[in-house]
Amino acid sequence: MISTSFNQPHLRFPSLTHEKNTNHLRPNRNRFIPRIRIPPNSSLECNCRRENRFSDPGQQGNNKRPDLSVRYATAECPTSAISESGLVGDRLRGLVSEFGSLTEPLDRVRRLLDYAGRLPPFDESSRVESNRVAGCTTQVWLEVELDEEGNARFRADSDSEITKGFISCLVWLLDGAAPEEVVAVEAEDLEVMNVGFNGRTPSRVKTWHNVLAAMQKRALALSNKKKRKMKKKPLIVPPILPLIVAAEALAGNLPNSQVVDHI
Amino acid sequence: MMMMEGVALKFPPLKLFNPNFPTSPATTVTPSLARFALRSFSSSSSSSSCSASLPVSATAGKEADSALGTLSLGHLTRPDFPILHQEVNGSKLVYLDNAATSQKPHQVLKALQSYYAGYNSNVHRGIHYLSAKATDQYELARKKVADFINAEESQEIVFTRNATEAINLVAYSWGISNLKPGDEVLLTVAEHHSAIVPWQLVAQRTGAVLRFVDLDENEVPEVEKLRESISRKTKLVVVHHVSNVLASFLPIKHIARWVHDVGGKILVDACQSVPHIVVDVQELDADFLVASSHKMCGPTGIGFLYAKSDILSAMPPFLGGGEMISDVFLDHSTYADPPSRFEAGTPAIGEAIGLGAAIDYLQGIGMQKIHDYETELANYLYESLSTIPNVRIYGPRPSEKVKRAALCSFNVEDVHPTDLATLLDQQHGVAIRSGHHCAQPLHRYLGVNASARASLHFYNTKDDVDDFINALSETVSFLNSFK
Repeated sequence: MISTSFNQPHLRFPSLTHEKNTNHLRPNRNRFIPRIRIPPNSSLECNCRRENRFSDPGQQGNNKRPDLSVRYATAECPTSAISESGLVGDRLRGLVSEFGSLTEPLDRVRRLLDYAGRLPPFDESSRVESNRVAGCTTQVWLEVELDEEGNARFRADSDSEITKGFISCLVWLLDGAAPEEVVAVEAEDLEVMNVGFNGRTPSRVKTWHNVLAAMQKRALALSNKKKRKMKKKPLIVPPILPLIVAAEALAGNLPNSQVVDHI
Repeated sequence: MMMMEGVALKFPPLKLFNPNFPTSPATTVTPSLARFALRSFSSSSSSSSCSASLPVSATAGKEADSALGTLSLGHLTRPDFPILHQEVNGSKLVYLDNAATSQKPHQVLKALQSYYAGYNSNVHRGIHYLSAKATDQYELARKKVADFINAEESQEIVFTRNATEAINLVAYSWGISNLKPGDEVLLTVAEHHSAIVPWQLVAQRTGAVLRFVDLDENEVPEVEKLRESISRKTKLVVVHHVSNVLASFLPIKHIARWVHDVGGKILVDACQSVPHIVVDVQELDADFLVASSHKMCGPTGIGFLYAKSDILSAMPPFLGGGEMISDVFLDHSTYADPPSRFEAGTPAIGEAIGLGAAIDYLQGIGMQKIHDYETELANYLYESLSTIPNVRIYGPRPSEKVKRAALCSFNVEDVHPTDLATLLDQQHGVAIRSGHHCAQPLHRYLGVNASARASLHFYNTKDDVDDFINALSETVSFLNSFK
């Protein structure tokens, strides 16, 4: 057998960890509020969905407004598809109904900006790197802690008003909820609030998806840490799919030493 | 598809915009003159054996007279771009994100279709008719690129996936084998990430040192400081020709001379210049120059590296595989001459041919005409945007001496650029970009996290600018009403 060797230095590449979304395989062994979803093919869906449409090229005089691709529930549609009770379930139904009743995208923006104004003040001293939610095109800061009863408490802020509106809704939805309830919410449940984002593919632009994921991850981490201290069994849920790879996951971060100076 | 075999043609500028005519590109032309020009274009594009397709207005006849009376280059060329004629979110599309990617004329779309429908075949190796034709057209596209930037020979053009890959090629091939500990690579804080990160990676491996030149009070890289920083240690200067954020131009010819005097080399990031102005690599005396097809009306997935032939000949391979080899044994291989040495695997053949068609299209208009028109658009955009209260536009102020590219990165006080971009799109169909535009160090230097950017191309018009400014004004008022 002929062996060859090439005297090249071994290249160390950063390892990227991708956590698969296995929510559909989630073992139902812990008591938590089941996932709240609007079934895609329900009559609710058929009454409410409108397809996105661009006018054909060459029909420039046609100013007919294309319909929206956002899935939402109107106030007239039954919300029986949202099955469970519970703090987060009730709030989620409320949010979906509230935003779903706003048929004009601009009205949804207005409502979000109203919510932005209701966000509690955020300490300037908390706008630090450790509180940043990574992967957002706007800046978002998030603080999470557990109260005496073990419920998650959230404080958040952003430099973008629309993002503040999203996170205000998220904080209103999840503040004071048990970590299990926080983790159970899925991004699709909140698509009705989707302002200006026509695609469904997660991308860097979907800041609030990242914020929701960060809220869930941090609440879960705090909860498990507390349970370990109390020698209780930690909550096992499938890994939450991160939309970005945290910087610390990339090995071999470049030192700054090769940069001599700014000239 | 009508093609002249084996020849890349250089086309004279449109007679419509001949400097001898007493009109400037962005202002009026008489209807009769325009109709004459349009008839000439139509007949030439149907009867000529050239691959050139000259822009033809969709309007004709008496109805066109009033339209033709105020036609600009933008108005004349827009009909060639099918994607521009649509509505988004209930409003007519106003596409102002050309620095991110440009739109494609139907001539390029047709070239792609013709390739895949007529003669798609792997290049360089086949004997049969389709392969021979595909090879000819692929190499003709290489020649078109060479002629477009006035390279001495086609062999100085290496096709890559894009400018980013081209810079990585230089970094991993030339950089790894030429940089030693203590050698300096000079850049500016305004460089694109693609021009910075490959050199960080290579510097880590070779022990070379990166040095960054700051901006001056006009928000342009300090050219004098750059000159003073060039020393015997400087092995490479990596600079943009036109900044994708600041819209400023750098004096590449002078910088090249300074770095050559000390025995160094210059790599020019020409992504924002090749699509918009005349670029002559011999006049600039660039050692390396990179650009991407998708920013110059060509398809995505193809770009190129220009390098002087003596430099290229001495460079080791970058990617290994088929095409780039001469002979392969189990324990070693010998490599092909450039450019094949740097083109491993099956290339993006159709896309290269599409780039060739894009170059034909641009040559049909004339790069100087495009430059002149876009200079007027640039000034109009800057002045119009300056009327928005509390706006801050980055980069130099345009003047007789200081030219700007037709783009503006800006911020409005107390309004996040992402909120602006979201509402401009949702409510007005205006497409701009918000973020750091792949220039985080620059934004950090400017003290901001993000900016909005509107960037134009020759198929934009002053009407587009007006629509943008009106939409921006409404959006800012709307957002401010919630404060």
